[in-house]
Amino acid sequence: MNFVSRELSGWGKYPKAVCNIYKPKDIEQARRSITKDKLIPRGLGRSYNDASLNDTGFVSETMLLDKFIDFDEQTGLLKCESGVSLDHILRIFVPRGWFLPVSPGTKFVTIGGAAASDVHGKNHHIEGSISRHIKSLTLILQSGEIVSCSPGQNEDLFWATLGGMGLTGLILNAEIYLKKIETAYIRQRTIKCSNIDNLLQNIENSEKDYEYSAAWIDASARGRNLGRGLLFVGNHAVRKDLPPKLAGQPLCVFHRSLGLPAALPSFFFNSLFIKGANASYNFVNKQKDSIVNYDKFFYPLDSITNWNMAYGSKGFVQYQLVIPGASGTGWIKEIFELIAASKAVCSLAVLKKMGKQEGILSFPMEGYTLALDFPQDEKLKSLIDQFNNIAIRDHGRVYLTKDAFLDEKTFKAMYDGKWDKWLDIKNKYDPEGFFSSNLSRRIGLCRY
Amino acid sequence: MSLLVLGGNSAIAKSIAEKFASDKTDIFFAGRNIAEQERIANDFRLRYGINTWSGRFDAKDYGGHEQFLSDVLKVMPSVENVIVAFGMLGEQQKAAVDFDHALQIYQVNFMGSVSILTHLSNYLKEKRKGGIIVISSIAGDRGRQSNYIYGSAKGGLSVYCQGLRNELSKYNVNLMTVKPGFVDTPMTYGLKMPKLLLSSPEKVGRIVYKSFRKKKDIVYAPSYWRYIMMIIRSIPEKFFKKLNL
Repeated sequence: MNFVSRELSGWGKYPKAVCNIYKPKDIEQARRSITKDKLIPRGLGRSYNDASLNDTGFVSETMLLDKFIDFDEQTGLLKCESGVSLDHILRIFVPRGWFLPVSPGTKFVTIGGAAASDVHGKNHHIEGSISRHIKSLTLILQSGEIVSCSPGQNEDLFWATLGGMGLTGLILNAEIYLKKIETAYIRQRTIKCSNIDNLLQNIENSEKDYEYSAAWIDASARGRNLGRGLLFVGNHAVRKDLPPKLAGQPLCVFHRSLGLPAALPSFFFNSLFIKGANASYNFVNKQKDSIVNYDKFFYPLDSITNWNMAYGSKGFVQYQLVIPGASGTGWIKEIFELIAASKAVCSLAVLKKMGKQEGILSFPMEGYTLALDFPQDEKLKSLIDQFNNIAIRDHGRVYLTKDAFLDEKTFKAMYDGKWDKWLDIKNKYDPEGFFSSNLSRRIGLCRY
Repeated sequence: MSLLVLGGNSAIAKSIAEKFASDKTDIFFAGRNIAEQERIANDFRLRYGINTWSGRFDAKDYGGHEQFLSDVLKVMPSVENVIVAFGMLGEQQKAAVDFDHALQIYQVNFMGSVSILTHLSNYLKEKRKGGIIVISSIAGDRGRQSNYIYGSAKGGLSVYCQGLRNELSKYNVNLMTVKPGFVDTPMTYGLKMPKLLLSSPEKVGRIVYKSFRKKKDIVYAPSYWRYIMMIIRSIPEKFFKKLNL
C-alpha cells in the first residue's frame, strides 16, 4: 500500500515529526495498514500534541472511512464510520432535529478521535463525556481481527478504547446516541464576573438552570481582579424562545469560515498585547441574554479555519488540568499567580465545572477543569512543571489530548492505579504493542 | 432525476454523485466490489435522503454488460444520466514490457468503456434524452514516455467519445468528456505530483457538475489544464521525443 512521508503535528504545531502516512479508503485497506510496524490511527489531527504522530512506523489517516451506516429515527442512534466528523454529523442531522450529546470546542474532529480522547464539552457536569453516549465501537485489532465492544461485550476493550488515545486498535465505526432538539439555537446568558470567587459563585448558582456552562477568564488580571471574566451559560432554545425572524426556519446548518492568511508575527504574543486583548474582550462583552446559533455558541473558534496558524511556526501549547472538588479551588488562584510571576504570556484561559466520570484513562473527573493557551517558548516547561506539581498534590491530572510535556514519572503519578489497569487490557488485545505513538512512548504508556 | 454510476469507488465519481444527490437524484452505484458499492449507496441514502441501489459491474465482462443494464432497469425506473468512471492506472514500467499487463489496462479503460457505452447509447437513443459523463484524462492528450499505455487507452477513449457525441447529438443525448489533471485520490496517493497543480476530488466534482448542467462537451478539470495541454500538444514531435515528461 502506498504511503506518503510528510511532517505532521497536532493542532498546536508543537511538537512536529516526519511520519509515514497511510490513507486507507475502505475497510480492507485499513486492515492492510496494520502491519508488523508500529501504527497510530489519526483523524483530523486536532489533538494539540504528539498523540497522533509516529516518527517510527506508520500513521493511518482515517478520513476516507467516512460513511454513514445507519440511523434510527426513534432512538436517535447513529452508526457511522470512524472518519465521519462531528461537522458532517451536524450538517446532516441538525436540519432533521438532532444534535450531538457532547460537543468539544471544535466540530472538526472525527468520531474515532472523539472516542479516543473521550471528549467532553460545556455540559460535562450534566451529560458526562462522549463515552456515556456511545453504545458500541468496532475496532480492527493488531491481529487483523475485527471486534465489536460495548458495555455488554468485550467490556474491558470498550472502556480501554474510550480515552485510550488510539492505542488499543483502529476504530472502524461507532454507534452514538444523538439528542433531539427543537431549534438550532441556544438561549445564552453572559454573566460578568469581577474575580475568581465571584466567578465560582456564579457557576454554582447557574448550575441547576443551565445545561451548558463555561467561563472565559482574563488571565492577565491581577490582585483583587484575579480571575475576572465572563461566564457563558446556555440551554437549547425551544421554538417559542425564537424571535419571529428566526422562528420561520428553526433548524438549519450554521457554518462560518474565514481562513487566516498568514501567521501573526511573534511580537503579537507579548504580554502587553495579550493583556490589552483580554481586557478589551472583558470590557466589550456586557451582561446579557441572547439567542445565538449553535455554531457561535459551541464552536466560536471554528469560524477562523486555521486559527492555530496565528501562533506562527513555533506553535502553541494548551495545558488542561482537572482537580477534584474535594481539594478545594485555591489552586486556581495559585496557577494564575504562578503565571504572573513567570512572566509567561497566557492568551486564553477557560474554566468549567465537571461531574462524575466513568472510564479508565479518561481525563475528566468531578471538580473543576482549567485550560490555558501559551505561545510555545523554551521557558514554558518549568512553568508547566509547577502546574503538574499542583495537579499531583491536589489529586488531579492533565488531559493527554493536549499535553506536550509530561514525562513517564509525572504521568504515572497522575494516573496512578489507572495506567496499569489500562495497560493490562492493552496487552491483552495488542500483546506486541503495535499500536503506539510518540505520546505513548513519551509517557511510558507501553511498559510497566 | 436518476443517475447510474459505473465505478462507484472512484473518488471523482463520488464527488460528482454528491452534487447530483444534493439535487435529489436517485442513484445506482456499480463496481466490482459489491460490498463497497453497498457501503457507498447506504451512505448516500442516509446523507441525502434519496433512493439508492447497488450492483456488481465488471468492466472486463463485456458479455455481461447488456444483462447488467437490464438488471439496473429492474430496480431503477429509468436511467437518465450516467457517469463512466471506472479505470485502472496500472504501472507504466511493467506494462511497457509485459503485454498482459498492458492488455488489462486497455481492456478496463478502453474496451470496457466502449462495451458499456454501446449498450447505454442504444438505450438512451430510444429514450431520445439523457446525459453521459465519461471520465477520461489529460494523459490521453499526448503520448509521453512516463505514461503512454494508460495515456493511449484514455486517448482512444476520448476520440471514441468525440465520435459518439457526434452520433448522439441527433438524439438529444449529451455526452461530456472530462479530462481531469492531477487529482488527490486513492488512485494517485503516494505518487509524486506537483503540489501546486494538485486538485481535490471535491473541486473536480463541482466543476464537472456545473459544466454538465451547462451541457458542455469537453471539460478540463480544472480549466487551466486546457491551456497547459494546448502548449504540450504544440511542441513539435522532434523536440518532444527527447523530453523526459
